[in-house]
Amino acid sequence: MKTSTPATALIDVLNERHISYELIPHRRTQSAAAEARAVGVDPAHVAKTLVLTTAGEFVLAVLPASERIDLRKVGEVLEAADVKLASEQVLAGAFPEYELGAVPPIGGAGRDRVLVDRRVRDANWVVFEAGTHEQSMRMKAADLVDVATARVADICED
Amino acid sequence: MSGGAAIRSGHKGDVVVISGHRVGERERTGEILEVLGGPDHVHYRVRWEDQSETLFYPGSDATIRRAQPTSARRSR
Repeated sequence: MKTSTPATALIDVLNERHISYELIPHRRTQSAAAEARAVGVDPAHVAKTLVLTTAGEFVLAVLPASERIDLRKVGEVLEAADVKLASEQVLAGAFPEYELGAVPPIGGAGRDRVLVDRRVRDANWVVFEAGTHEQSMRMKAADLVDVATARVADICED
Repeated sequence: MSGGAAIRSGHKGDVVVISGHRVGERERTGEILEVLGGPDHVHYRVRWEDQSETLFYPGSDATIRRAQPTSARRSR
C-alpha cells in the first residue's frame, strides 16, 4: 500500500527506542535536491537510501544525496562480489509499504543490513524521506547508525 | 531562551532542548507553537532557532523548559 504518511514501522522503532525525531511535511518531490529545497536544508544534509541486492538478500545503503554510490567499495565492505542496485520491479514487490524511491533506512520488515556512508555519520544530523515523497524525517546521524545497527564505511565514489 | 527548570511535558511557549551527542556539539533549541497528539506520545509543532518549523517527537535526549514569564525576563 502506497501512502503519503510516514512509515508506521519506522515511527514505531523510534518511539520504542525513545529517539528524538522530527517530521517535515513538504510538497511532493522526486529528487533529493528538490527535497532539500522543499525542506529548507543544505543538500549536504539530505541522505538517500539505496536498496542493494547481494547473495539473495537486501542491503540498505545510506549516503549523501549529492554523492554516487561505489558498488565496488560496497562489495569490499560486504565481502561480496555480486552487489547490484535493486530494480524498480524488485523494490515494488519487496517494499510495498513505501513509495518507490522513498525507502527509509530504518524499520524494514526484513531487518536488512544497513550501510551508512561515513559522510552521513560525520554530520550531526540527517534528513531522509520517511517512506513517502511528501514527508521527510530529521534525526541525529548517530541515532540513525545506532538504531539501524548500521555498519559505517566509505561507500561513495571518489 | 533555554532558561527554567526541565519538565516532562510541554505547553505552548515552552522551550525544547535537544542535547548534543558529541563533545562540542551544540544543543538544538526551539519554541513549542502547538501541542499535538495524545498523552501516550505527545508531540509538538516547534519553531527552531533557524526559524524552521517541524513536528517534533521528543526522545530521551530532549528536555522541555517552562517558558519564563515575560516580566521575569525583563531586566530591572
